[in-house]
Amino acid sequence: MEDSTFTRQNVINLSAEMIFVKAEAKKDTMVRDQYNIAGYPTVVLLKSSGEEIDRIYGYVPADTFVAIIQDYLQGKNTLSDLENKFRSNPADVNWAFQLAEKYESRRAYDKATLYYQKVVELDQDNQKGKTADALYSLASLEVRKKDYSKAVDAFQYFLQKFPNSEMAADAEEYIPYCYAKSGDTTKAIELYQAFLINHPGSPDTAWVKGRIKDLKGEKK
Amino acid sequence: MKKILPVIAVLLLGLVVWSTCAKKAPTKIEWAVSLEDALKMAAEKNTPVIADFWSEG
Repeated sequence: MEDSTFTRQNVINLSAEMIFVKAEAKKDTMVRDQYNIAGYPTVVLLKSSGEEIDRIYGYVPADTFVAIIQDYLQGKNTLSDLENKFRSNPADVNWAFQLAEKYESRRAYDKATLYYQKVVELDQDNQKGKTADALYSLASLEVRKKDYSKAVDAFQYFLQKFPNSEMAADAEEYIPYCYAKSGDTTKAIELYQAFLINHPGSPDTAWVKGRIKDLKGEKK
Repeated sequence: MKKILPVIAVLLLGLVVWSTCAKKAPTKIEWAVSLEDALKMAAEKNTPVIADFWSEG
């Protein structure tokens, strides 16, 4: 964001009407915890009173950034706006998915889980194209919650339902990671080795090889 | 010519006033030094705050 979004004139123009501030998460841990920052970059839009209006989680280009901020200032697509929309249409998969993402970005993992589960319930056949993402996110949330056994089950279920998803390789990498985290080094090494065989051209090959060496206690 | 001079004078005066009063667009973001300072400034000016949480690596 620093070298791209925040150097664009349309974003700079916003600074004539708002106060911009940076918080380095590793140093400003109190502020980070106060706002339940789930990852980086996260941009939180605050009222002058300090109350959160909403947030942007992850990198977005300048035009999108300005559009989102302007929407938020008008009360559009904020958490409360989406909750109202979903209440008025509880069968809408897209609202449910967006709510899940909003809660995940606030580290409200139980609520995020609830809405990702709603996505799966509402669209088991993935007609809206969000079910695979929801299942993958449900598994990732178990990793965030450090429940590695549940995470393995959830990633395996995801792979069973969507073996050709573009996130399948990531899920195959996550499973040995979870085994290693839960102390089953042998299984983790076995699955990392299987990953190298199944994905010979993966951009993560070097990282996976490094993980195997680490788990075997070999020096890199 | 005499009739045009006052018109030109008024236009020039208008231009001077406009160029003095026109708010220049910022050329870069002036970052507040801390969130605490940002919120103080925001309360004084009654403006929102954009807080960018970032991390190296």
